[in-house]
Amino acid sequence: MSAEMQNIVGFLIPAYAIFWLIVFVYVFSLRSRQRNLEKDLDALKRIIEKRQGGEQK
Amino acid sequence: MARQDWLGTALIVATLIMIGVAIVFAFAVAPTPQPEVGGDVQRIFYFHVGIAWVAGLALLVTSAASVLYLWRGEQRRHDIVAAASVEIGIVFGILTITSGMFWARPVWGAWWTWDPRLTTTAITLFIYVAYLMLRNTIDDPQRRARFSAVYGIVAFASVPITYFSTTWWNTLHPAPVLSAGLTPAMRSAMFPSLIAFTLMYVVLLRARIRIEHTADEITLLKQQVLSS
Repeated sequence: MSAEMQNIVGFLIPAYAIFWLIVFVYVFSLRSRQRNLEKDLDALKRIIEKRQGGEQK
Repeated sequence: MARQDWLGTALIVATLIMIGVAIVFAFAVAPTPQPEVGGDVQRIFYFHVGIAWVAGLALLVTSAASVLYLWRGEQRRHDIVAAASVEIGIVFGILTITSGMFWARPVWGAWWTWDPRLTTTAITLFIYVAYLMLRNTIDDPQRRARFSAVYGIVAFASVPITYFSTTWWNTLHPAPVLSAGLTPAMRSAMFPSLIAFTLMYVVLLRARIRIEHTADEITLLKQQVLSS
């Protein structure tokens, strides 16, 4: 393998691969944080609805 | 479809298209690099500059939002933007260093040197990691926002120092892009990545702001549950 090809395989491709890996991990972390918060929000809304329903009875 | 959803989808589509264009320009349109700058490894440059630009932009937005927070009567929305943007700035700061290391190893023969540009970039990154740590240690929301705003303004001094480090001190790092004497073909190959990463920043910032809004809604409802 030529030195040029070694640089492409050893550095250029891994640089781009690591870049996209970090971006995907960050996007996934944003998505999972948002989902967890939405679950908590729904649970809280249900508690409030139940309480309000109980008070009306 | 709600207006916000439509805008979000349009931004994501535009980002993906521009990323595709940036890849084509970096690999097919950009001129074949000289062997003394690493040959084809130099094509990392087209993404490296775009990533570094977004890191600087994100920290500038944090600083501007911090000024607005203190100036415009401590509104929560400015604190949200500052906190959201700094996180993206740190992620892109890490990406800047990582992509630079993959260019430095074949060209300089080392993954890392204590070169002024590399050192100031690392210091800037640590300063903003400390910003996030500061936010996590203060419980009172208003105090946290006020301290963070002051910190966010002062910390931004590290960004121009990092940018001008290549002109102020002797360094191995290439000169700033604006004065680096790029050929027209290199410039035109670099702009799609600047646009692509700016769009990506806007998409990420919107998503991160949404998280803060949802967290605020939860805090409000928790207070409602506890007080009833």
